Amino acid sequence: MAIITQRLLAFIAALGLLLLQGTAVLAQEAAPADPRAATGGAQTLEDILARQRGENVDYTFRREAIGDPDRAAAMTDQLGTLGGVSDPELWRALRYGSANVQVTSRGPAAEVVIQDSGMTWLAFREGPLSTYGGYLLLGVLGALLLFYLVRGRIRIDGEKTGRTILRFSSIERFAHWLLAGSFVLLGITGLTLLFGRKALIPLIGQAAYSPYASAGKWVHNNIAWAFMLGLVLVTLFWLVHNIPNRHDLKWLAVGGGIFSKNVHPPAKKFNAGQKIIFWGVLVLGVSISVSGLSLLFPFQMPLFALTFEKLNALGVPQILGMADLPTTLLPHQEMQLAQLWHAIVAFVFMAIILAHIYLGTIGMEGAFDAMGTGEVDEQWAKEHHGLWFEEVTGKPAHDHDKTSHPAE
Amino acid sequence: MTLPPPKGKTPMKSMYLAFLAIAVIAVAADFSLHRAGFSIQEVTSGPAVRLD
Repeated sequence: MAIITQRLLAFIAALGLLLLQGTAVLAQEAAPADPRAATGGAQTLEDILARQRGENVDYTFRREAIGDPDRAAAMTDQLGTLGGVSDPELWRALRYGSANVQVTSRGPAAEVVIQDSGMTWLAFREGPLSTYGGYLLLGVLGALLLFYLVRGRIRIDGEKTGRTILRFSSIERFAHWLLAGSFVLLGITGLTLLFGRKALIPLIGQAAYSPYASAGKWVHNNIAWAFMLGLVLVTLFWLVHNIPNRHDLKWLAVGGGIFSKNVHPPAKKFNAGQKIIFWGVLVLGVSISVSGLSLLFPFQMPLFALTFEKLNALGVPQILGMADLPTTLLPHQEMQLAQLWHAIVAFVFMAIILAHIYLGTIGMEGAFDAMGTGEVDEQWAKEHHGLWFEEVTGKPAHDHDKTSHPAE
Repeated sequence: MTLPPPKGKTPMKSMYLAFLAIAVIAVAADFSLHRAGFSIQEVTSGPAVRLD
């Protein structure tokens, strides 16, 4: 009898367990269990493995687990002295930049104890930025070499007259060379600072690179002002001449005469190709100057949180199928983004200017005179800037409707 | 082939002057920004920090 009772009780207990398990399964199906329940809300092995696999993990659960002073135990209670914030919670607050840090050093950057976006910045700088930027410049140089081999130097088609006219005044040339000279120095020092570790240190050694890098940094920082002044002057002198007009379409329709001889569409002081370069220089120049100023005065001119806010408001990320851009950035992240943007703009700028330098020197006969002595042969002026020639001299520039030439 | 400079004019004078101006502006910018208290040392340190 006792055995039967024992077996009956065991059966009832087993049935009870089964029912409990079933209820638990149903409960799980009804509402997904907290994946971090087993760790009390802390990150799990799966979180760590996912991070190691390079997957994006939502760290909100960590970012927000920074304790709560309002729920602190009374001072007389056990752990009351912690003030409701345990050590791990305090470190998390420091880690995610939400701790109330007070420092005697000036500047917002001093209040940031931990920031981890530096590795992302470094990986992008040494990876895609250097790689694609380098390919872009090499590609442009290769394309120009190929163009030179195929097309050769763009010659003056007609007979040179030996008579010259003033193309650019001395102050215009001064402004151009102020901009150009500083740009070349900024480009060279910028490239050597970016590629120094990869290319120059293996070549000349660290001992030689160190003073060169210091000098390069000084040059880059201080010559920036001449560049900005040159940009302002060039804009003042040439903006009005670079407003698009109907002749530009004609010029573009025949490719400016770059690819064929004896084709000279009409152009005023600047042709469509030169206008493209002018507006490119202006837009890129302003952008690179603003990001450069942000870098010159570290942490004083944060740009990107504000820019991202505007872009989000305009719906740009949504149009591109992206999530909203972050509008809260640490001071260091602002600097990292400013540096990357500065370099990206610089690469595009250099690519355009390489083409400009080519056409202004070896690419086109007589083009350098315009910025060298300021005087150009009348025949050159007739062929490349027929309408401008007529305006300046009052003489006909011949059948300029059939003729043109490219941007120098 | 480039044209000879007009008589009585220094060839490429504007270019040389611009290059000189670049150097002058750079030195002046460095000097004046330091004098105006824009060195990174002055901007980011406080009275409790001794760097020298």
